Amino acid sequence: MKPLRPADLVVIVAAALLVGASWAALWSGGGPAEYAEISAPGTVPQRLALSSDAVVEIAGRLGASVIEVRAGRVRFNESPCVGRQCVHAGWLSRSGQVAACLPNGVVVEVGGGRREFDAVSF
Amino acid sequence: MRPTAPRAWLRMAALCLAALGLAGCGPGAQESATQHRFMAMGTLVDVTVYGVPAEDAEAAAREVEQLFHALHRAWQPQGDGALGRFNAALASDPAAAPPDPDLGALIAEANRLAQATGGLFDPTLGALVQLWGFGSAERLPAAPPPPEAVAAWLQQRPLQFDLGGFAKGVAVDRAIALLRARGIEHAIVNAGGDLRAIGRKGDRPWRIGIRAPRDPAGVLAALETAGDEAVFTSGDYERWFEYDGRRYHHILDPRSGYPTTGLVSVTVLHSNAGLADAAATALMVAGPEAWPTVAAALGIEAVMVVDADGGIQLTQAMQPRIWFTDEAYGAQARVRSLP
Repeated sequence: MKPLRPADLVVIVAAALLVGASWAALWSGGGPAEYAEISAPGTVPQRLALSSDAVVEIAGRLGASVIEVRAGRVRFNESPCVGRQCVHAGWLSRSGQVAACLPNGVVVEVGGGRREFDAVSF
Repeated sequence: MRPTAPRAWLRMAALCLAALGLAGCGPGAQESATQHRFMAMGTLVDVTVYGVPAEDAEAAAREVEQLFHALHRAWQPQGDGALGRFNAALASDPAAAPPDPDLGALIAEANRLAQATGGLFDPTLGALVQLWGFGSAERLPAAPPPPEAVAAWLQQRPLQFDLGGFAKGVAVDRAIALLRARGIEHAIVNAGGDLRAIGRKGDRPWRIGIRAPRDPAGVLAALETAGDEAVFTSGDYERWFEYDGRRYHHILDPRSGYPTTGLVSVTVLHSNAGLADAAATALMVAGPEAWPTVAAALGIEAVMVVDADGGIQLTQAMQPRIWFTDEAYGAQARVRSLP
């Protein structure tokens, strides 16, 4: 194989710049999220891979929050709070999304991949 | 031709190197944002700081946490904080004066916004919020109040302040001022999905997603903040309960005493978070027809609203800022000009 010539470099850089442009137009920013990070009072945050379906119980201040991972998404399935805003929050799938059961102290954040959003307004 | 070719190549190579250099800043720099999370004002607050050593960022973010707790105590409508005491005093003497100048200034600003919106943003719904049971962050009502109780409120309108829909925005503004005083130029203060972002994340602007109102898993659109901007969204999906097959949410219309109808979410972009907060609430109340008039009255230019049928309207100032995440959303979007 011949060594890389200057013209090759131009083609490579031009191609790289084009990729950037198409990202901006379509907003497919970030790759798919990879994991859900779950934090609860008095414990080290734990990660669940979004690639494998699972249902886990996380002990919080009031009781157990049930967190479900299915088809690359994660949600609060059950929680011992009264308001149930966490369950209302529904499925999360994009890197940077957060749902929390404040009374129970359990927080779920979707992460991994190239972080798509620094924050989500809702 | 021939003698100039090497120089052209040199220039091209220099340009390429510059481009590679720019691209190279991204991934490494991205890692150094510091995040601090805490619960305050009944919501989850995230402080993200970029561009200063982690220990400085952490120290400043902890100060922001203390600030939020102090403001929560001072501004909650009940209890022994400044606003709680003021409301208690108002209950026996409607002419009572605010107990301290800071609260006095906050209430004066809230009253000014109320006037500018023709009362659609109303900081004096304290008794109505209590009647509905939306006052507590940790519980939701089981049923709407009896219609006669709402009618009685409409008739009496007892003067009780509730700064929900404004206080959070002001707290975000003060948090940003505190971070700046600590020499931080790049940060996001995000209080439960309502945020203000300053500076950038290294070589790129901060990227903000906007939730799709009827698909919690989804993000409707994305935008990049420009230097110093607050992004505030009010939606009927944030706090709600169901009774007898009907859905009741927490944004109350001061004209009817019932939850607002017509719009399901309003997103406002403005450099002042307190104003953006009040505006998002006022536009929800104004509804699908009147919202542009109210936005103009408040001096708000960048707005996106979603109506009950999923239709999306954007102002001319908002349109170039928004990337929809799905072509279907783009197809439902229309630009609406402000008066």
